[in-house]
Amino acid sequence: MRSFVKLFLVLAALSAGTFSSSAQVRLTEWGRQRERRFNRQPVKEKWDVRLSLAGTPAHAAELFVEGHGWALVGVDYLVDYFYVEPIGPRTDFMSSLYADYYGPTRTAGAIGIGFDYAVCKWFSVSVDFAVTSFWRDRYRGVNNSLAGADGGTAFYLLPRAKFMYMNRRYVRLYGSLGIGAALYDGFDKLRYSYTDSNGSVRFEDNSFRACAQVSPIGVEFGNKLFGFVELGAGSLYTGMQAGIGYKF
Amino acid sequence: MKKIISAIFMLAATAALSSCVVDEGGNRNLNAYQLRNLASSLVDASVTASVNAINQMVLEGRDINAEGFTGKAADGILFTRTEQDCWAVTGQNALLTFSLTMRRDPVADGYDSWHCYDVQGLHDEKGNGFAKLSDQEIIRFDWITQTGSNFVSSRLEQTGLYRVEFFADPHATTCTDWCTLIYEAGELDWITSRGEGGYYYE
Repeated sequence: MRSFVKLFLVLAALSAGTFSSSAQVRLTEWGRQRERRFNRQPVKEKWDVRLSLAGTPAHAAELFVEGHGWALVGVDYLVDYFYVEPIGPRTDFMSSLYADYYGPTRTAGAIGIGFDYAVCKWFSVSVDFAVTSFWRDRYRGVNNSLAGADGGTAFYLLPRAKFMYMNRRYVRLYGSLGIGAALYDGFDKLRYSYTDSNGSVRFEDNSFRACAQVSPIGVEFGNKLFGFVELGAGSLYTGMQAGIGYKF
Repeated sequence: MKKIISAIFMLAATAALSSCVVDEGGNRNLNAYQLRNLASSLVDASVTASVNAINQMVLEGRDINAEGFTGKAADGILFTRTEQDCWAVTGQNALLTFSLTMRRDPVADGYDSWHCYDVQGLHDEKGNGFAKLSDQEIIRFDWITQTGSNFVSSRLEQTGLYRVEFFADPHATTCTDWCTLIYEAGELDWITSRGEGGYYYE
């Protein structure tokens, strides 16, 4: 009799286990489907604030070091190729030969803060404020001794249109396009005087300029607190920008 | 997904680090090539210009060997005959003030050789320093003839040694930099206080 009881108990346990495990499978699958549906929904928060670090402010670096941006690089090549010096060799070569020169120009990248407002599921408007600095040492040409230092700072105000390619709760893919203004402080080559055809000395200041930034692909990951990485090119950075943000 | 995000972060971090130096800087004005360039421009504006000018006078049929001959060429060059086939040359242009002695080796076929010696030149920028040109041996100009399938061209090319000394301090007695120009039938090699350059075809 006892052996029958034992057998019954074993069979009961086995059947109960089988039933419960299949119930678990069904419940988990249902839960996952619900979770997937939930994750596919876009975030509810309309606003976010972002802190960012852009790796290569290449355009500002060109302006700081060379005094011109990318638009004039091609023109310079053409001028070098076609231009024939009309006035003979330059006659002030001693002053240029032993002129002061600069050591490496460094930057910590562009540090920025930005605000986004989600107009709809696929479109947001943003405004970014960023700042980047450059610095370098100046040396005497004659004996290579340190003569001083030189620095410049660029400020950007960049309204952007942001297009969400994919807007999920935890992952969002986007691209953006921005046009704004930049102020270059300490960029000496953007401030210079020249003598016009009448012999008058004129002062030119190009330190306040328009700027633009295109970021064709970016990814945000996280919910309220999120990180982001984007690729792009323009006045603010060329290469990557990354940072963290908070939605509210 | 985590791996992709980690990789993107690694790339971003690498890009941020590499962007720290945006320009290597360094002295782009003072180097061997610039010294050579400036030194050879002094030679071109003095010795080469003088030889070309007097050769042009010969081609124009002027009697440069006449007693008391004095001829003025462009670029402020003045020729004064001192003896048969020998001229004292002085010049002043935007680049330098110079003097030299020139001698002609007449050849029957008309392709005369020219010799220049006692070459002295001064490029002065007052407070910014000066540069001095001098010859280290007699400079010889010979006709080099090139023959092609449908052309024959001849030109005067020089062989000789110059030294140009650069003084950054206008009151200094020893030069800051120097450049030795070595011409061999028009081909230029050079050595400078900032290194050697190699060949440069004029």
